[in-house]
Amino acid sequence: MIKLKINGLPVEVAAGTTVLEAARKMDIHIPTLCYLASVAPYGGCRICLVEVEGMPRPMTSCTLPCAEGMTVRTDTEELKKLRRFSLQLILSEHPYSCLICTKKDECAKFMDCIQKEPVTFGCKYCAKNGSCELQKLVDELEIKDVPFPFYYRGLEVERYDPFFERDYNLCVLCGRCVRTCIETRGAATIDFHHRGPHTLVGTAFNRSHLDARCQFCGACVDACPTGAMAERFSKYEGKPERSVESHCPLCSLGCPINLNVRDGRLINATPGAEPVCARGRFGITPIVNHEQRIRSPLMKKDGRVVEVEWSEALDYAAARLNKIRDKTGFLFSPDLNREAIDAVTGLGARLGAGRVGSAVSPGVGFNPVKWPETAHALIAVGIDLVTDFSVLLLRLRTAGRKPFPVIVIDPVRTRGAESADLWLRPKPGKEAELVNHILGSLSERNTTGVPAAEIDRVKELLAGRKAVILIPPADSGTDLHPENDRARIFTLPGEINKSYVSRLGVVDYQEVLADDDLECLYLIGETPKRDRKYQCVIIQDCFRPESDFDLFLPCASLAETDGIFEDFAGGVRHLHKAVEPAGNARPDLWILTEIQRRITVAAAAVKSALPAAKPPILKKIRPTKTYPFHLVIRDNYYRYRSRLLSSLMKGFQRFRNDERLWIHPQDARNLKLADAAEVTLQGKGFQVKINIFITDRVPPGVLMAYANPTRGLYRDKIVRIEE
Amino acid sequence: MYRILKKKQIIPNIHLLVIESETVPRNTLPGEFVVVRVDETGERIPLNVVDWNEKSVSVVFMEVGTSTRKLAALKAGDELATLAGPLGRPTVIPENKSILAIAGCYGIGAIYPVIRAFQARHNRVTTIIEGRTAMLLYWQNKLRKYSERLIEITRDGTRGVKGHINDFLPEYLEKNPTDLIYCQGCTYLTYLVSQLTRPFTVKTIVGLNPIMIDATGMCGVCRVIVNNETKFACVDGPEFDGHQVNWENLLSRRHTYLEHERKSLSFLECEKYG
Repeated sequence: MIKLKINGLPVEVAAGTTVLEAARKMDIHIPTLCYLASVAPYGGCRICLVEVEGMPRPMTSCTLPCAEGMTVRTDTEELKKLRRFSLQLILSEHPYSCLICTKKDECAKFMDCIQKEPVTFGCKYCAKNGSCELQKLVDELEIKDVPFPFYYRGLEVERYDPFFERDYNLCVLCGRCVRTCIETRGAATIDFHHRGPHTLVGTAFNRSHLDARCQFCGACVDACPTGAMAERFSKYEGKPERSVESHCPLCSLGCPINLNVRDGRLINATPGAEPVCARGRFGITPIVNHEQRIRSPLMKKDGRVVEVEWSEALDYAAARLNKIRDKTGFLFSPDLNREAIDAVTGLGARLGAGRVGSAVSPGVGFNPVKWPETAHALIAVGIDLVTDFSVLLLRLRTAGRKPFPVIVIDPVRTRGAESADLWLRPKPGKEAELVNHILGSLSERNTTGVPAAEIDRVKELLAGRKAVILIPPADSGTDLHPENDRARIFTLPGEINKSYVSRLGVVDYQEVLADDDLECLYLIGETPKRDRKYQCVIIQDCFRPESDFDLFLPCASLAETDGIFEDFAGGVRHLHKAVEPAGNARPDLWILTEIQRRITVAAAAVKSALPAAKPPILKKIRPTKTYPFHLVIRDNYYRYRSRLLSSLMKGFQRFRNDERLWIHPQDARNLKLADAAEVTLQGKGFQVKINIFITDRVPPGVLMAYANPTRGLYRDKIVRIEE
Repeated sequence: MYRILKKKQIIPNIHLLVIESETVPRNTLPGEFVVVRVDETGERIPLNVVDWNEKSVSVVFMEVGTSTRKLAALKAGDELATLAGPLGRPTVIPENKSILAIAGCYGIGAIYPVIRAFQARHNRVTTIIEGRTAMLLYWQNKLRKYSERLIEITRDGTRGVKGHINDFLPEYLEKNPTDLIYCQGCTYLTYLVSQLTRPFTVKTIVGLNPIMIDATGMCGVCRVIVNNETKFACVDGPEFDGHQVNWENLLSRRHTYLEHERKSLSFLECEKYG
């Protein structure tokens, strides 16, 4: 321990502590600008200057390590003068007229409209007004004037990327975004470019963030002390009034998030204690505030869809269910909270309905190994650790403290494959075999298409380390042994509640759809393609489906209800209500309970338990002459209930291209197809129209599409392409 | 359809639009406005006419929402769905008086035809334009041509007088006897000028900008309270005596749809850029 004195007060700190950290520990305030606790100190802004006895000039406290016997002063007049001077210099490159305006408080109530202007020229125009760190510093350091001429960089606002825009005219070059991108996220998409007065933040060669492979996690936006980086969706909303702690249910990681609310409206979602990805940062607000949200129950009357009151809608639903009873099939999305899932299965049991289904994958509910929390080596099989589960990789990296090799096994060149230490590209369907070859548990001939030399390289990398192998649920039905002395195999369910749903014993939704006896379908957050007509279709969701229905019940979305859900490792996460449901929408649990109350089925008819789950059997497929392509279907974790995020916000579409069919340029050339052309995929008893996306990320002979039950895309198939 | 002959960003966020029309300029007088729609389902946007000749009318507008964002995205050669005008009452032009014209942001364009008319009737015009910083002032040469004196005020002192209109105006009025004050600009500027001139009992005419829909006196959305009477800015105005305007009412009416305006803009931008 080191002993020193700050402002005359003695303090004892561990070696390596900086003066700033020591002062904060003692509740002594030193103003800062470029300092961010989560990244290494930088000493760029010169606001945190302190005087140290025996040193010839003031030092930046954020970079100065404490030394034995040090005597530090943080609040002398000379320091205040120096800090003021530093800030005035910084402000000379930032539109400061509002900061020093004597009428700024009065004009606030008149100037709400100019906040919607495209170019920011002062605080009243700025997305950060009220939460800007420069405003706080100007007040704190009592700056009344800037003696330097104002230099406006005159740069165009960068609007061409999804989710957030950048106005580097407001940038004060504190480097917080740059350091966060490099140190916290390990992405290094942005850095400083040019020198001296021309220094700016940007991507290499000034490419767009999309081209520079940005993950759009938004960490830079949250690190920015000014309005230079602003989220597009919430840019004009102003400062939040309150914040509600919740968890992001858009994928199974369930990261903590803060839901920020103003005037009873959700304005954005920012990361809680841990980092988040693009879904949590930019996906939640558009879902909740979307124009396409249905705000009132809809019923089909005489061939026309009309709005009805809840009482009429619930009575109608109950009347139909009372009549059709056990010929009702229930399908629900795992995105529902657990209370609602229990209510669905309860309602199904009450009606004696033999068919309650959801997206069940084989093996998910029975993960025999616990989530290891740390890893010495990581093998991801068919899982994109960058686009889909970047936070999982970050968690492992922070928990382990020691760098570990990441190996990706994937026929598709995903972003995760690109950033891995080693990427193996087996033939589709041969992933499990390759894992067994790597683990040395297979002596058969290698049919994976990966050369033996590469497998040996993996073995070298793994030498002496026990690897964590992540596999998607669909591969867990194969003969991989979950635990041995060389590896621990963990099935990673991508959606929340997936293992909970599997444990409940519901059937896979394809089985429900294949049941010819059913007369009524009750779809909750799941609208798969239906091949036949039903007497009655009830849909409960946030958005209007493309398909036909007899009754539509609008439900509350993820920020509008309380509840719990299960994450990938079986942990329980909480959802907290931040805002009231849109219009007349109601929480799922309320709707289901109200219907349950109206069910009059006699108690004798109630079956006590649901039939046990039968996981679908995966057939090995191989392309033939008639069906020359192997269509790989990837689970899409960028969705909420029945809707893809890309159908709700264009940014996700640009970022992911997940509504298209990925095809190799060579195949496209052979078939004479242009990019974005619409084609028909023809398989055995299967036909889907889809637009293509030409990319060399898939190998020749392989097509890739993201799962989309609404269009009938479920599992790998062999297909041919027709124009 | 009305073709756009010229489109220029004068300063950031403020644009000049020259629209082809023969009928509108034929009848236009200083102080009147036109209503444009960008597309067939578009919102009606009232804009001050800043200049005209036989073939065209010009408007200066500020980008503050969905419709003006769409308007600003147009280029020369594009067409507007509709152009209606001239609308409103023209400015009352006195003779042989000493007049002070005050303008800020889009108002700098709007006062131009009015001071031109003032000067033509032998009035002595002093013009004050104000902005946050020098690069937000424009059209100095055009205004200087029709004013005896042009005073520039910037908040950061990058050009002309440093400060705010309230630091300057009382002192000016004490030294320079003035018969009429004419003010165009944002609601804050018009409000502030009206408050500052009240002790001097100088007649102060201000151009108001309430939310307006049809601009022909039918809908009543643009109603303002002047001298305790309800007036319609579209047919009774848009210029009123600033000392008689109920500012509280005007402000609260202008803020009615702020939440919707913000949401609409967010969706427009997210649809456009992702």
